[in-house]
Order: sequence, then C-alpha cells, then structure tokens
Amino acid sequence: MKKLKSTMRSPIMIVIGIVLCLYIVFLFTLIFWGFFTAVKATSGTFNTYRGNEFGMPEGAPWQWEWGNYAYVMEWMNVKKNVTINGVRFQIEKTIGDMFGNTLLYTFGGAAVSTLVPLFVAYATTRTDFKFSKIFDAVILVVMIIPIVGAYPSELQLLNELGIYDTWFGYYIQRSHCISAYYLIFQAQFRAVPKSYSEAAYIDGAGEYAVMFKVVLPLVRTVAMTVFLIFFISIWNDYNTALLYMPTHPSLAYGVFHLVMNGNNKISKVPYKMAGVFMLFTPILIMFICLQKVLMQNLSMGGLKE
Amino acid sequence: MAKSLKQAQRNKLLFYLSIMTLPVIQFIVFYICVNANSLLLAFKEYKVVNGIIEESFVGFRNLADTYKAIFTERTFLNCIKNSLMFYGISLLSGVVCSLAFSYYIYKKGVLGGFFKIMLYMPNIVSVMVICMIYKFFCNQGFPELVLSLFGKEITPFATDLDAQLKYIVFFNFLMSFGANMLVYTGTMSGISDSIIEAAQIDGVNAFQEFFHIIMPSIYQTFALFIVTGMLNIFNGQANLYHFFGLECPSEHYTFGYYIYMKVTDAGVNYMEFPPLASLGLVLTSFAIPLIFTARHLVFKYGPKDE
Repeated sequence: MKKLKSTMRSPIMIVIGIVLCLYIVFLFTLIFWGFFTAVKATSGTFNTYRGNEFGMPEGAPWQWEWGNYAYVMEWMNVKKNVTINGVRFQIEKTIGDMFGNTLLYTFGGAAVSTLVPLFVAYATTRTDFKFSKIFDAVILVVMIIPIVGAYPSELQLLNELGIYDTWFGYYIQRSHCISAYYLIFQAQFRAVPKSYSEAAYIDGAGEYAVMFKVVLPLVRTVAMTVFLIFFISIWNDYNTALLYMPTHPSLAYGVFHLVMNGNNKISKVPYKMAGVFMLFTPILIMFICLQKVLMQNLSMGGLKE
Repeated sequence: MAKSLKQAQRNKLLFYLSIMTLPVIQFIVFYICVNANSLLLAFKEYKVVNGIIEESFVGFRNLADTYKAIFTERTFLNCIKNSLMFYGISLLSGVVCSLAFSYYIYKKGVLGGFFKIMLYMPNIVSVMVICMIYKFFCNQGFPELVLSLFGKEITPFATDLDAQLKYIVFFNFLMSFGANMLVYTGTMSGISDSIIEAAQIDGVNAFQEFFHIIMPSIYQTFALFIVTGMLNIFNGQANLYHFFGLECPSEHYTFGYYIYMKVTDAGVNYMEFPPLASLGLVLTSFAIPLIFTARHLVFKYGPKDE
C-alpha cells in the first residue's frame, strides 16, 4: 500500500493529475459559458449579451432570460428545398415535427440496432448450423477492411430501391450486425451454460420460449446498456436526417440547422445556445443519472458482465 | 422418436431462418451491393441528354483523373496535409495522452473516478454540441475573457484562417482524450495484482512499471488502436462539418470532410457520384495496403505479453 502510494506521488502522476484538472476546468467553462449565454438578453441595455460575452447574466437567476428557450421553441423550424426523384420541393417542419421524428429515430433505431445483433448473436452461438461460422468469419473480415467513401453508392441504391427518405429504409439500414456489440452479445451468450436451454427443451419449451424466457433475461442488463448507448448516439445524430432522411429532420438536425443557418428571428448567439442546450440537457441529465450503469458495464471496448 | 427428432430439427431450422434472413439480406444489399455499385460508379459517367439522365462507362478515365488530381490540385494537397496532421493529433491525444490518463485512473489517482466520467462524457453527450458551444466560445467568450484578464486582444475563431486552424486542432486534441480511455483502463484492470505488487516490492517507479509491465500487457489493444486509427487519415472529418457545415474553407479540408461535404451538398444527384466514388476507390486502394502493412508490423515487432 505504501509502495502504491509512492507511485502516485511520482512527478509524472502529479503532472497527469494537473493536466486532467485543467481539462475538467476547460470543459466546465465551456458548458457554463453556453448555459449562461443561453439565458442572456439579446436587446436593451441591461443584461445584454453584447459586451458581456464572457460574464454571467446579471440579476438573480429568476430574472435571467429563461424566455429564450420558449422563443426558440416557437421559431426553431427547418425550411429547406429537397430534391427527391428529380422533383424539387420545399419542406417546412416545426419543432413538434422534429420532436416526433426524434422519437421515431431514437426508440425505433435503438431498438432495431440492439435487437438485430442480439437475436443474430443468439442464433449463431446457441444453434449449431455451419452457416453461423461462415457468417461470423464474414463479419470479422468486413470489420477490418477499410472502405472509404461509399456514401454516393449507398444513396443511389436507396433511391433505386425506392426506400430513400422512408422510415422503412432507415430501419432496414440499421438492421445489421457489423458492430462490436454483435461480438459482445456473442460472448455473453457463450457464457450462459447450454444446460439451461436443454432443461427447458426437456420441459417442452419451443425455440422462441427458450430464447425469450430462459436465455435473453440473463443478458438483459447488457442489452439495456447497448440500447442506451444507441439511444444517446441516435439522439445526437444529425447525419441521418441530413443524408438519408431529408424530409424527416430530427431535433439534432434542427439544432444544427439553427446554428449553421437559422432564421433572422433566432440568429443571435443566446438563441443558438438555447437551442443547443435544448438538445444537450436531456442527454446530460440521462448521463448523470445512468453514468454508473453505463460506465460499470463498459469495459474492454465493450461490456463486461 | 425419429419423427419427433426430425420435427425438432425442422423447428430449429425455421427458428434459425426467421432470425438470420433479414440481417443476411441486409448485408447483401447494404454491404456487398453498395460496395460493388461503388466500384462500378468509379468507371461510369452520367450525362443529361434531352432531359434524361444517361449513363456510360468511361473505363479508367475517372480513376486516372482522380490519381492525377490528388497529387496536383490544391484542394487535395490540403486534404493530404490536414488528414495527416489530424491523424497525428489523434495519435498523440487518443493514444499517448489517453494511455497516460488511463494509467492514472487505473492507479486510482486523486479524483480518478470523476476524471473517468468527465473524459468519457463528450463521447456520450455529443461532440457536436460541445463543438458548437466551443465555436461560439472561441469567437466571443474567450477573446472577451483574455481581454478582461490580461488586456490582450486575441484573434476570434471566425476572422483568421490560421487562428481557426489552431482552434480546430486544439478542439480535436481535447476531444480524443477519452475515446480509448475506457478500453485501456478495462484492459489494465485485467493485469494480475500479484505482478504489480511483485514489481513494487522490487522498487520500480511509475515509469518502469508503465513501460515494463503495463505496456506489454496492453500492447495488443494499443496496437489495434494505432492500426484502426489509421483509417481516420482517409475517413476522419476532424469535426469540420460540426464547425462549418458546407462552408469550411478549403485550407482546412480533410478527405473525410471533402467526400461527406460533397455528398451532402449534392443530395441524390447522380452526376456528382462517379468522381466521388472514384475518389473513394483511390483512397481505399491506399488504405488497404497501408493498414494491413501497419497491422503486420505492429503485431510482429511489438513487445510480447509473457
């Protein structure tokens, strides 16, 4: 123990500790700056943003401009031209539309992205069909082959199949197993003794009953963690709406659009920061509440039991 | 008995097919067909004739044009320079700094648990959000802070290309810290305590412990990150789309940003696809041998965990 402490007292560890402290200070400075900017007034002489770019909003917290959030909610819309199948038209989506889309992206997308590799990992580890070995080998090879710039081909194919900019296309795109989570699920299923399933078969259970009632409950913590990770990453994702789903903007896309373009009514920095914090706050709260679950289950590039 | 065995086997097969059919079809369409089509696109050209889009094969013309352009055009030379620079930064930050921080957390340094959460937070919460706050902060908050504290005027983000690049480099450096940290700490925690204790009884210092015990034990993971990180030379955007959308100055371009920006700008516009597919193919032809050679070298000449 004494020796362990002496390692921690070495100069290099002290330097690392100081660098980490500076990193945290920087991160908090950014977050608090954004938060305070979002509640500063955009006009008038008192409590204005201009000339007070770094300082806190003036007055007591209940006097800050919390109304910026309501104002952004009212005016944050996406108005843009979209071309599909050679037809160019304009779309206009409100924050309500974007929130609805976000729910479909996050819950549906996270469910598909979790369940497909989960079920396939079950099928390839708990049955003894030879095809599973070929499938696993192909997945491993695909994961290490670097392919650059397949976006144009992907867009063309989606368009030719008539599933570009459709929810069906989105969910099909996410129904794949080429991810580390597939390997993690496989490791989880291999750790469940086969005698559990065999006992259920003897009792007359069918394949689905064994999967849903016997084996899947044993890996539900890991499956939930993977679902959460996908949920958060899809919540923050604006690329899908930008590239594949142009008429279905998400909240993340809306915020990106607001920051990059916006409209004249919400072009001032406090409004843009309010928009950013509308996207940021739910996930930050979720992360704070669930960080133990997320961090404890994450290890070795994935998850541990 | 034989009949029920056959029935059970058939049920198992039906169950297996019901699960595997969708992902296999998905793989065939969205991996094999997409990449085969990408290959074909690199040899095609689209033209509008009498209002109708017509395609024709142009042989190796697109590829020849792309190879030539990569080493002569200013835009692509910028891409090469910046892509390599950002890879170097990700290597320094995501590998070297991440290793140092992981070691600190593994040794249960002061506030180690808190640092672990905070380092990982930007990856979970959203780099895009942090990036947007950072951009406005560098444009207005930071210059204001420096002016009020030190009375010195510094260049804001938006006004100068050199300053812009420094801000972007710094941001990418900071955001790569936590990327691999969880994996490193997970791997380090797998090292037997008895080995560490024996070394400490022998009086090793932090440096010796790190380089002679920790590094050989986690070398496989370390090497894997070096190799997979190389893909960022060709695919990495360095968060440029978060910073600029379509408006990034060409001086900052990386290959990853260039391809992504062109595709988002074009939408489903077939005319734009062949040159981009051709660029993708050319970059893949560089990436595959580079990454496989690097993989071979780092695993062949690295320390062995014994």
